[in-house]
Amino acid sequence: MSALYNIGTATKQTINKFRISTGRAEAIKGLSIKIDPKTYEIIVPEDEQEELDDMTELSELAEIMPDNSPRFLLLAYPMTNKDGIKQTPLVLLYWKPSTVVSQEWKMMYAGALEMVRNECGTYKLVEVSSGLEDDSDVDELIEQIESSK
Amino acid sequence: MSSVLSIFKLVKAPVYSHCFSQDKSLLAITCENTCLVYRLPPANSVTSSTTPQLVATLANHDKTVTAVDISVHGRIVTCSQDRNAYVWEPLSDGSYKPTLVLLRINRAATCVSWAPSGYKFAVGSSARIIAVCYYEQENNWWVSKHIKKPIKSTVQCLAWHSNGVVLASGGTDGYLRLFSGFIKGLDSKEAVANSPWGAKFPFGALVREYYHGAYIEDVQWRSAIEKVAFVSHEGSLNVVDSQDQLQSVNAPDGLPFNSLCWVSDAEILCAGFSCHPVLFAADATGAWAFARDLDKAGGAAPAPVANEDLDESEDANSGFGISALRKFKQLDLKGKVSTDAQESAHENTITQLKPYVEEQGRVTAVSASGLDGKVVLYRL
Repeated sequence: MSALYNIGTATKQTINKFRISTGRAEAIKGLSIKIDPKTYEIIVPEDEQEELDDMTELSELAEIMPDNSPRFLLLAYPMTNKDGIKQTPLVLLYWKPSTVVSQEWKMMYAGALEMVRNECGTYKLVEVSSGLEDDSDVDELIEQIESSK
Repeated sequence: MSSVLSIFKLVKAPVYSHCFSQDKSLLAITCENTCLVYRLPPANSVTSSTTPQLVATLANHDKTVTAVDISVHGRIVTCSQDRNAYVWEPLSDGSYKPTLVLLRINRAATCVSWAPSGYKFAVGSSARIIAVCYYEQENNWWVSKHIKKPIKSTVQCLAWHSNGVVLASGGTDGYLRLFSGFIKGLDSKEAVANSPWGAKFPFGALVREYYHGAYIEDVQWRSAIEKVAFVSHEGSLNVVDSQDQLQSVNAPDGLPFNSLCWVSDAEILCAGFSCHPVLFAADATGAWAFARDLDKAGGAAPAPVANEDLDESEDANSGFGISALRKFKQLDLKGKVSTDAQESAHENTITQLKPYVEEQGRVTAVSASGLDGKVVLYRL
């Protein structure tokens, strides 16, 4: 494991709780994960999390997510797959809008990607680089999430 | 007597846009690929013999500079057909330090406007995008956020409401649109709390949309009475209020206007292809109508006796200065062209009108830049 980033036990617990609690969720639920730029610690930001709890649609992500910093977003997306079975798979969203100016931050998040992916235990990773500025971007994102694993 | 206060013959190229600093001591004009900054004496001491002094040449753009604006803090922003915008920070020695702003557009930038707070600005472009740019303190960089939907064509004009959130835009798709330019961290929700245009809108949300049909050339707010006025290419001036009531007046000589300026709550000054400003006024019921022309060519000329019998046939031509017919008749009659008829101060189209002197809520002097390279100050 890389010695550069560390995940606190509290964060691990929050992630686990999220995975378990959203197993049968009816609405889209998201958990925001950020890296503290000074300590390189992986944490869950409180203020963003509150806004995310109120989110009802993916298009609102554009407003809640910061447009100057990348984020990891653990998403529980309820959908009915082509066999007609209702599922709520966990998807890891790598939020990387083009309005991020700091290359340092981009590299910091890119380096932690594998670690966060292992911790969340998700198979699917979707990279969002458009910042969801357009409706067509949101549609594209939904398509990517819903395409079969 | 004459409505012309002063004529500044500045450059030999068209001036597409000009702007004064807040205390009116600096004048910035666009000139081909550069922006020129001049120093002026204070507004109340400007006479017809004042000459502005060139203090700085801002040259970083590769193509024609299309618009310039100065913020309340004195920062100058220029945008150009090279798809970039530069923010010029004034230094203590009088020069300016440029900072590139990446707009992320793939067509020319057409217009730029600082928000009233001076911390963000909006750039309109031919790429069907409005880029709202603000300064990121953490990264020491200007970030630009895009407003794309539902703009379908070039954005030609932008104007911020005094609350710094609602942004009016008009363009070649014939629509006047009001967007929200709310930036998290820069604007507060209190600014729009009591606004008749709406209370809560995220960045980029469409607040209002009015279809007009013709290209919208310029748009300006009168925030105190919550009205927005725009001029369009079929030669009309239109005023809309928050109840979506739209009123329209046509230009007296049919030529479209390029720019407008609110003089008071019931008066608007417009200027454009007729080379002189035209004043419109609203009466007590609120209906807008033509009031008077300022500095119209061929206006107050005393007709010489020898030409009396020619006057009737030339009445229809008096609006356009010395007509070709009159010119040759006078040449034939007197051996020289009469110079009694007044020429308007601008010899070519006026591109932008800006308020110059404002007293007690009423504008008493305006400045106009034109394609003839002059900036003319008019008195109202």
